[in-house]
Amino acid sequence: MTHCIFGYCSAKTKAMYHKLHEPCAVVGVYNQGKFIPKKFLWKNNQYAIDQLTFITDIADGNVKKRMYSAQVNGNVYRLLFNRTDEKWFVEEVWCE
Amino acid sequence: MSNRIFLHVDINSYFATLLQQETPSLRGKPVGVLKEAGRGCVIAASKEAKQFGVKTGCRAKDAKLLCPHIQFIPANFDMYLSATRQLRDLFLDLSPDIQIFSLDEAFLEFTALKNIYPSAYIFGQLVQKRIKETLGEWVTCNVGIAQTKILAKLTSEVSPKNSITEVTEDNKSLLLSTVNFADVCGVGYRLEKKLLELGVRHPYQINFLSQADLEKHFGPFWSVQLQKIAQGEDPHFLVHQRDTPHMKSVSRSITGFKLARTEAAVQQVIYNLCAEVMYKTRKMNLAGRHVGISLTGTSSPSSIFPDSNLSNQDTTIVQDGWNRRTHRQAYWSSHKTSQQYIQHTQELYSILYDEMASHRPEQFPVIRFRVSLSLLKPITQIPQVLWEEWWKKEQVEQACDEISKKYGLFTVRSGRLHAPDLIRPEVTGFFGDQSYYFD
Repeated sequence: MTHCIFGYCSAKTKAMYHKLHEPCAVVGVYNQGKFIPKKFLWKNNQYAIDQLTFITDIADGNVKKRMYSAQVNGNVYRLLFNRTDEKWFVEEVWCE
Repeated sequence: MSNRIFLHVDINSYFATLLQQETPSLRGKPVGVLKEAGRGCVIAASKEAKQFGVKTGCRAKDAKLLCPHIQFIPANFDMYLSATRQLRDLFLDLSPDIQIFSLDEAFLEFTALKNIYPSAYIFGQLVQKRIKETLGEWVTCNVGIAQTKILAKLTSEVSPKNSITEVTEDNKSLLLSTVNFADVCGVGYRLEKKLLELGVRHPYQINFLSQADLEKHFGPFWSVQLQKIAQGEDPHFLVHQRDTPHMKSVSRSITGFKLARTEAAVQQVIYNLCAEVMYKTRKMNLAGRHVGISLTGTSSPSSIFPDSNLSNQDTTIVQDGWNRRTHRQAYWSSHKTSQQYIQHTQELYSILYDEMASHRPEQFPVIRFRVSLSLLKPITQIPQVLWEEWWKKEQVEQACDEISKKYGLFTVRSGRLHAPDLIRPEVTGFFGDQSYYFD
C-alpha cells in the first residue's frame, strides 16, 4: 500500500475516494455540443486531464449536476459541475 | 414457437465494472462493492473477485478470507442510475421495442430489425460495441439471442463473460436440461427447494411430471408457469405489459449502519422512510390504502415473545462485536388496510407508528426497517376529501412537493427529520421503481 500523495489518508487507509468539495476552475472544449474538460486549476496548480473515465449525471429535483471523473497522472478526480449555479468543484479524489 | 427474436443484454458485474471503468487502477483487480465504507456485506463483486468465489451477499470478512487481495469500494448509486439512463437512451436508439428489466439488464426485440441487419448475432455485436462507446472500454456485456425472453436471459446468464450466444430449436433442450432452477429468473429459494424435494433440478425435468402432480405440489398458478419455463416459453413475469396503468405499490427498506437503540431513533427512521414513500407516491399522482411495516433487530435471550407476529429465530445468533454477548434475532411485522386513501406523510406515519409500531410487544433495537404503501390508485379516481383541515394539510404538502421538485427532496422537511444523517432515495439493482425514475 502506498502513501496518499494528498495527505488525506494514512498509509493504513484503504484505497477509496476522499471527499474534498473544494472550488476549482475548469477549461475545456465543446465537441458536438458536449463539453469536454481538458484542464483544471485547483489550489494554484494546473492539472492537465489525460482521460475522462466516466460522466455521471445527478439530478435531485430540478438541481442538475454533472460529475466528470478525470484521470490526471494516474490519479482520478471527480469534478462536479452544478448546472444551476454553474460552479465547479473538485468533489472527490481517489487515494491509495 | 413464435417468429419473434429477443436479445437479452446483461452488463457483466455492473456495479464493480463501472467503478473499474471510472478508476483505471482498479481494473483487473478483485473488487468488492459495499453499500458504504465500513459496511460488512458485499453487494457486488468484480469478475476478478468472482473467480475467487466471492459472491453478492457474502460477508466482507468471508470475502477477505476467499480473496485476501480484494479491495472494498463504496458503491456509487448516482453513477449506476446515470449509466442505466445512458443505456436506456442507447437501446431506444437501436431498437423500437425495449424493456429495461433491471438496472443492468434489458430486452431488445430484434423482430422489426430483421430487414436492417443481416443477423441477430451481428446486431448483438453492434450492441456490445455501442455499450463500450457509451460507458467505456472496460464495460463488457453478455448478449443472449432467442425466440423467447426466458431463453435469451438463461443463455446470457450461463455464458462466459463478454459473449454472444444464440438459442435455436436444436440447442434449446440442451440449455433447459443443463441450467439449474437457481438460474431461472422468478424462481425463488422456496420454490427451488420444493422442486429439489421432487428431484427436479433442471427446467427440462418438469416435462416428465404429470399435470396432476404439478398442481398437487405447486398449485394451479405455478404448475402452468413451470410448464411454460420447461418448454422455453415466457412465464407471466417476463411478459412485457406495456399498458400497465400505474405502480401497484411503493415500499422502502433500509438496513442501518448500527442498531437504532432508542425509540426516538426508531421513530425518526420510520418517519424518514414514510416521507420518501409518500413523496414517490405523490410524484406519480397516486394514493394508497394498504400499509405495511416490518422491523428486524436483536433481542436479549431472556425476552419473552408473547405475540405471534414477533418471531424469535433461535437459529440466528447475532454477536455483539465489543463484548461478545449473544442476542437472538427479533422480527416484527404488521399491515393494515385503511378505509381512506393515504396522501400525506403524517397520515402514513400515524398509521404505521402510532397505530401499529408503538404497540409492538417488545421495543427491541432495530437494524432493518421496511415500510410499504399498496392498493395504489390514481388520485383522479379516488373520492375527494371534504374535511377543511385535510385540505389545509394538502396545501402544505403541495407547497413542500413544489420545493422538493425544484431544489431536491428534503430541502424542506418535518422537524422530526432534524438529524443530519437523512436517509435519501437510492436505486436498487432490481430497479422496481424505474417508472418513478424514468417518468
